[in-house]
Amino acid sequence: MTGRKEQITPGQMSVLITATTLGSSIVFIPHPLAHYAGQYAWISASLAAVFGTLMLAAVLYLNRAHRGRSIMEYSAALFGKPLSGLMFFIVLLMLLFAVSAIVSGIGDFFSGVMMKETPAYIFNATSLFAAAATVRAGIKVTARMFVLLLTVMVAFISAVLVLAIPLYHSGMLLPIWPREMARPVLHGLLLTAGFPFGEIFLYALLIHLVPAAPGAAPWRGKLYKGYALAAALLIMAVLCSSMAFGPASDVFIYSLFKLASEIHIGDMMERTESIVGIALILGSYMKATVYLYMLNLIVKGWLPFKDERTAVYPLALMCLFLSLTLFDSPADFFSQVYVIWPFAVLLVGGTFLTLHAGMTAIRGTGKGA
Amino acid sequence: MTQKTSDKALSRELRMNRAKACALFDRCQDVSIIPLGGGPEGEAVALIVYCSSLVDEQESRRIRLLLAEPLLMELAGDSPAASDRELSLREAGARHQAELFDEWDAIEEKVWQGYLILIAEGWTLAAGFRSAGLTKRQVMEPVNEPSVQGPREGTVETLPVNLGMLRQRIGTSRLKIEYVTAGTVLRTDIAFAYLDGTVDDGMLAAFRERIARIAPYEVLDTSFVEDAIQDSDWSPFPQHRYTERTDTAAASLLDGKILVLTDNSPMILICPALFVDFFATSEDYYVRTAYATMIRQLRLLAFAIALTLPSAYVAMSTFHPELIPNILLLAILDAREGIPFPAIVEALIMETSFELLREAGIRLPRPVGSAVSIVGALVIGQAAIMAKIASPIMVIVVALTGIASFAIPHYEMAIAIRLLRFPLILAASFMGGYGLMLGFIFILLHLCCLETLGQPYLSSLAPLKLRDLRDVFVRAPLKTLMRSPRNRKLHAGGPGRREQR
Repeated sequence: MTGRKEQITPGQMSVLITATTLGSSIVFIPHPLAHYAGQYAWISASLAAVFGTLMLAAVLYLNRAHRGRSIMEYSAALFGKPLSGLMFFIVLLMLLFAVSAIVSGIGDFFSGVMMKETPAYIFNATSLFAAAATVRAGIKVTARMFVLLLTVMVAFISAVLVLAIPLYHSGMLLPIWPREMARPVLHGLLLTAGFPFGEIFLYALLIHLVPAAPGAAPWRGKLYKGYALAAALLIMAVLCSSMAFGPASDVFIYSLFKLASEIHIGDMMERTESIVGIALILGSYMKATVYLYMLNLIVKGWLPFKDERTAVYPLALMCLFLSLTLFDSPADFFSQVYVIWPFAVLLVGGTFLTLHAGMTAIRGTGKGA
Repeated sequence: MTQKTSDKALSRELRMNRAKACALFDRCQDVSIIPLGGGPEGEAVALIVYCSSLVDEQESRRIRLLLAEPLLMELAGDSPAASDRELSLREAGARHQAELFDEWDAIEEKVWQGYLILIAEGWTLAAGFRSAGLTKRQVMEPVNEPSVQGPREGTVETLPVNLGMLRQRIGTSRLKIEYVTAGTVLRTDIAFAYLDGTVDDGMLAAFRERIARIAPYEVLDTSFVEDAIQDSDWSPFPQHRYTERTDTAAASLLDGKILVLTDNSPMILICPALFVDFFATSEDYYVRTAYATMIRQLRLLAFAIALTLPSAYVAMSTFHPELIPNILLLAILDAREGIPFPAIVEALIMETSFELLREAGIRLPRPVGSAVSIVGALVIGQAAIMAKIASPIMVIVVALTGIASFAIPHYEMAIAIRLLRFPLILAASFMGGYGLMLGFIFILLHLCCLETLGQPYLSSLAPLKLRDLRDVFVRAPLKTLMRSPRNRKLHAGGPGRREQR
């Protein structure tokens, strides 16, 4: 983040979208989704992906209507500074919670599964430090770096899903159409529409970083493709987890990790779940980085720091303290992240986008457009 | 004309000029100041000044015979009008390719460049004849970059010879060569070369701005230039690379790079160098595609092994033993039985010993150096296992790491890996696989932040340029590479750059 205005290419933006949609959710979502929707989890995820597409369409509509301006600029023009400030304050609180929950998830994963003797705060602190250092390097560097990390992560996810083929039993998905289908599917939809697909509304904060050159080739398709890749992989992970474990997917907290531990190829390849786990957790780091960048974007919109990066480390420290104090127990984490958070995303994100899109449609691009 | 300027100018009187030359070259006993007599009363009519350690004796004798003797006779005879004499001197100078100087500063500089200077009575110009004859190293096969196939021509310590070899390869006026002189004492000639129309204009402007900064510094070697123009001083990664091969230098010019050549140094600096450039050699393009591709991938594997093998071993044996197949794990446990140190201490002892041996082997005279390597490898390694200081598996890990680092074709990149290996071992010993992941993230972050002359250092990979990857992980057939954007730009003047992804 240097003094000059930072810009990234549409391809890089689509990488960020894929990384944040897949990141953390690929590890965490199959378990609560199976808990809510049972064998219909993949149907809930598919419907939620459609909902996320609508959110992305709304974000892109706003970007097209307010070409070249950040949402903080045009929101103030549309609603006036006080109301706009209130909306962004709520988004700021949501982002603080999201970053804290993501790093708390990283800490819980490592201290609970892979390195049980190391306290969670070590993982929370180091992963947040890595995320903050990345944010300070700027969004251009971040996007470049994530192209490589995402490639590694997608390769590992695909490898696990392919190598575990012998473990799949399609019968686990039955019954397909029972009477009691609607309620679990809707419950699962509520969860996944909020986390992770609904979170796409946060990209309204970033989308202006793609330069709006007049007459440039249409680039929005790239963002849909990136989002579609993430959605497809997530749905596949949920589907494969259901086919491999059936009703037991509700029991395993990190089902893709568990799936990797079940892969045995002769004496050569067994118990590779540690490597897979580390590759998967890269997603959480990427998501925490992008959300921390968004947090900093809001703060620097309000506070006239000379150096745009001034707030990054203080914000990261705040998130660290929150991650260590917000969640009393795994049950508390479950309730806050899988019950309250999706609802908050749907309520705040939905309202936020609807208000902005509606007002743009009614009033045009606002004052100063 | 100020007093200072007149001090620097030559006098018409030979006596004054002789006194000035004696004062200028006082206590420089390798400089000969020889008066040449022949006047009506036997007085000196001309003066020859040269540095005997730089001048070729045969050449200087030839010049004296050809020019000085007839000239002396002319000077000693009837004295014609001054203007006529100057004209005849100029003509004689032109016939014998003399350069004319009117200031002592220029004369001094030329004496140190091996010129023979002739100063004549009544004349305010001195004639300089190039007669440098210092023994120079012959053009031979480069020591650091040998090849099985391809040319065997290597650079030498003489700048004009190196530039000549480049000109011989690229015979076009598009090859531009510009000079910069650095230092007040050494006054080293630095030449930079680029292919006009191929080099990026912004990059060339940035390079010019940086190379201008070097003027006040005394430059002994090309590496001084590298230090002055690099973007990051503290990065372990080299941002420019060296070659002693003229074919590599020519290929780099075609690739839009800028070359820096320094007098008295055989190394050509290629600016800028990207990360992926350090895994390619000129020979890759002289062998068959399949073989070149396999070698490329082997080098990338060597990079991964050299960087991570000791740290991965520490992480796996300390934190993730489940990743090691059971039989191998039992063998490792058996081998480590009785060793008093944890894996991290064992790794650090062995790695440090290996680095010590390597450094000792390089610095010692060659016959002794090889003896040290043998003693180190065989005796100390075996003794360390017997004394239970290290386990055999650790010796294998360290040896494999060493071999892998030797497989990286560019020494500067191998040094970067050596530096980074130790923090990675520490990270792995504290936090296992997670520590390794963090280490990689920070290395990758640094690589993504690094720029060299305005180019992203990790270019081709980040920002990802899929088309360019055919000369990174594989070496595509030459006819495909020749159709690359780079060559389109070179030959047709098109844009040739793909959108950065």
